[in-house]
Amino acid sequence: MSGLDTTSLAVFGVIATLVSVLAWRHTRATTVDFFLAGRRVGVVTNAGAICGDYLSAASFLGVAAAVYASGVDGVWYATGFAAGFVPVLLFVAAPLRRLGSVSLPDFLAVRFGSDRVRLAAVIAVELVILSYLVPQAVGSGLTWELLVGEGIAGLSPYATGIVVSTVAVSGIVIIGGMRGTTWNQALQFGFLLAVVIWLAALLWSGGFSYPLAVEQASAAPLQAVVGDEIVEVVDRLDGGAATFGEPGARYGPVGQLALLVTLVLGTAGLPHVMNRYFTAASGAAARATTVWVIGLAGSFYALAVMLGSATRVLVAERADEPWLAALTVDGVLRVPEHALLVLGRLLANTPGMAIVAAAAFAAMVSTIGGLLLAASASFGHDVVARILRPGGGPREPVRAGRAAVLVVSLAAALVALVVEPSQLLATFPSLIATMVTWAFALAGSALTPVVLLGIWWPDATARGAVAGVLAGAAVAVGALLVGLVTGADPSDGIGAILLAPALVAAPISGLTIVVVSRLDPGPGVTVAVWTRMHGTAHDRQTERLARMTLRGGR
Amino acid sequence: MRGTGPLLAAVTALWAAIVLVSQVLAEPPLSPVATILVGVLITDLLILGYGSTLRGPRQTRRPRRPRSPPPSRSPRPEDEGPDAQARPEGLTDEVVDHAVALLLPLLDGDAVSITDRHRMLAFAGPGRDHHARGSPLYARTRDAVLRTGRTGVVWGRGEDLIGCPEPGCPLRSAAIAALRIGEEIIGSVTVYRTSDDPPRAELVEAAAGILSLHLEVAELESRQRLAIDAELDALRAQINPHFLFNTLNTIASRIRTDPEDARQLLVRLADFFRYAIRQREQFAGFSQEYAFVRTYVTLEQARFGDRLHVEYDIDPAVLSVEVPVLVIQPLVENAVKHGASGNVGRTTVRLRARVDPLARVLDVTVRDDGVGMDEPTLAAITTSERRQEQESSVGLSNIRERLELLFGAHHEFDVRSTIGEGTTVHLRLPMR
Repeated sequence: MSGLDTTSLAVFGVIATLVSVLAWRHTRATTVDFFLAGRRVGVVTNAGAICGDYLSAASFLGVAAAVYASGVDGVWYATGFAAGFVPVLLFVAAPLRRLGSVSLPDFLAVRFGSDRVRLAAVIAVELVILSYLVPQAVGSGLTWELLVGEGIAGLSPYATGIVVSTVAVSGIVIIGGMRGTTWNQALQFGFLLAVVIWLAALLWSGGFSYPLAVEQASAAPLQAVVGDEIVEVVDRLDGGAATFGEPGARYGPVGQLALLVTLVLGTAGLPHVMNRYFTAASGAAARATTVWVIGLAGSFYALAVMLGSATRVLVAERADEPWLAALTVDGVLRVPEHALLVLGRLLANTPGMAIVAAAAFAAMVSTIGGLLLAASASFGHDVVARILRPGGGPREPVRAGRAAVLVVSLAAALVALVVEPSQLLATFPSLIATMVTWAFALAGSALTPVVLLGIWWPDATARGAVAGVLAGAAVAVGALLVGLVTGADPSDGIGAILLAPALVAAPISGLTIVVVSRLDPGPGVTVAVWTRMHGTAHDRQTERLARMTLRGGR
Repeated sequence: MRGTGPLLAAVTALWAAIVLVSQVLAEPPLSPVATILVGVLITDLLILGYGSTLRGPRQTRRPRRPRSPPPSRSPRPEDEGPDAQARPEGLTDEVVDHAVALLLPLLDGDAVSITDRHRMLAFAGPGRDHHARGSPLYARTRDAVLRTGRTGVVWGRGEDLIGCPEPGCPLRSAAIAALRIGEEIIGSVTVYRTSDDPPRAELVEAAAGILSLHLEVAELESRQRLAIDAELDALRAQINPHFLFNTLNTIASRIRTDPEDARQLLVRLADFFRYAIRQREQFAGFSQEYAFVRTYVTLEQARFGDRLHVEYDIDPAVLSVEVPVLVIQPLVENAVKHGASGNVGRTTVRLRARVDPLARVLDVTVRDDGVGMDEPTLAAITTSERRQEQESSVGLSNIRERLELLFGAHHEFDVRSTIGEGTTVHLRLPMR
């Protein structure tokens, strides 16, 4: 593994300090006014904050890695992560904001008028958060391995990265830092986008052409490293050898469909992303925000795809450099997750790698922070303050929330330590992106159906919602466990569905909601809730107020 | 009319397409009659589809009858009907049903009922079918109990006794005790037996006592709610008259020099009072309160000019949080009053608001770098004792009391001040 030099350490440190100092800057009055008015400045800020919560190690390292490892099939991750916001835009954003509340379980509890729904949703939320935290921890382990390359106190470099990031982030969250203010999260995203654009600019200035690179990479059959051996990747669609530029390097027909459906459905059920929709000024502003999110995230992913392809070509060309030879076998990276970091070093030496690593850590820290806050809020407030001890003191939910942060982050770190990336890489060529898919599958199976039906079907009842959430979560968790334990082939057929189960679990969950609600004599939605969720009076009032504020904003 | 433009464009494009397809591309061209028929048909469909656009902007639309509620199943009732209003606080249907079900096994009888002064409210045990909720009261003894408050015992099925006209009624004896809130008798608790040996009066009386206690607590709570409303009314009524005079003076001084500015200020003043007076709810979105603060600050800045500078440091996530109405503005007003009024130099007031998603609280800090206050003044304006004497004290003490009533121990409110350095008010509220 390549070591760390003083220059890159200095660059890393300067960037980390700069980002945290900038994040403390005050929100200016004009920003808040535009936010209130649903004008562009406010909407873009909020969209940036949503992207900051959303883009994690999976997006930053994982997408480039997936493209590096599987070519066009890896592009599905980029497409799916960005396309996940389309159902949010069409069906979820505006009603979610209009009903208004503080968290996804809270929203469902208000919609169905039931604390049982709240409890079921909290269970699903905690599961999603836990499964989303694991790939982030794996990502920090892999980044540490490459950037520092040395363990502390007898741990392996990979384990050290996990322990350091877990202790640091959960410690900061528990002590009371990192409150994920809108401005802070937007800035984190801005930094990520800037790094990706910077890498792309370096490439272009060096005479890089994307079509040429794809052509060059597709010239020979696609290769991967398994253990220490180089193997040719099989085309799952047409048979024979797979190439970089043709689909089939990773998924057969069922696999392609299962992956895309899972990613598209997952986003609407991600608690830490959906929580931020409640901060939009109005339903209309929430929708406008989503349009911006699609634009911003889309351009980010498009660039990430390009960078992944560039890495494929550049690494093969310069594999004889000594530091790179250690990381590759025959011109192919051993760990595809290293792709973006290696690209940084190829383009701008060690400082380049340090900058990419800083961006990766920024992505992880903002996402882990958002996840831990969502975990603690839903446990502390939705479970302890609302259900277990409604009469308790004001400090009780906070203490419970902190305990939840500790438990969830420890559990995630343990799972990440048990998962030995080198063993799983044979089955899952881009590990981080694949693990995030599991979190998306859980969210898409357990939460998205109940959110969609709750918003659009007035007859959905509380019992139906509870049954649907539990059924979706059970089917998804069961399928994933069976798939992982039996070592199913994730590329096609049954294995693909088991490892991206939203294709089956989401319809089962939706059907359960419909059937149980039909059988349930209980009432559907109340008129008051329905009117608040779909009426636009509040939006108009907000606009009026905003006009009033802006007029006097001198 | 809005929407006409797109429709015109769409119809034009449609006909262009029809002509292109049927006359230019098709070989041989379609007959004119068929072309026109098809074109008219598609145009009609298009116009029908465009109906919503043609109707134009919302304001000019004819008021439609409100749509019937969307759920096809009967929605949950939002209130308890007219009867519930007349009934004492805490004596809802669920509560009385629950109470009789609880009392029945405890009270050594076969049936238990709760009534108000005129009707049956809940009944458990044999005879339930004809002593349902809302049925009239029969026993004469109960009238005496309701009049005097003394516990009565009856046995036998005569006209003067149990009094139930239903021949098959199994009830033979009863003990009746009064339910009260304070001194007032509001109903009765009755324990029945199917034998002629009546239930023990003390036991029934004790049960009625416990129920009365519950009712008193409920009554107290409702009074507390009224008290909160009263506090809000007080604040609304006492919007600082000095502020009004000062603003009117400022406007008067500008009417000649800068009439447009004066007009703007008057509009803002109207906005200010409209918001302050129309608030009927206890809570509003922070965004509303923020807009109100901005309105207020504009008016004050017209008066103080460059001497007053206000900075807003607000996380946009705060804007959608529900806060008690008319709480933030009085804090800012207090800062302006104690900061800028006695200060010849430039005063900066800073309003900072953040949410803490872990603790789910809202932190609001209002800080000024004005003259500050000494201990006695501080104590005077934050406690209610001197609110009659000093108009400036109304704001803070009123807020303190309202927050106490609304949140109890779940909030923090503290004021710190140093002479010469300014005052800081910090408010921490739970997010609902």
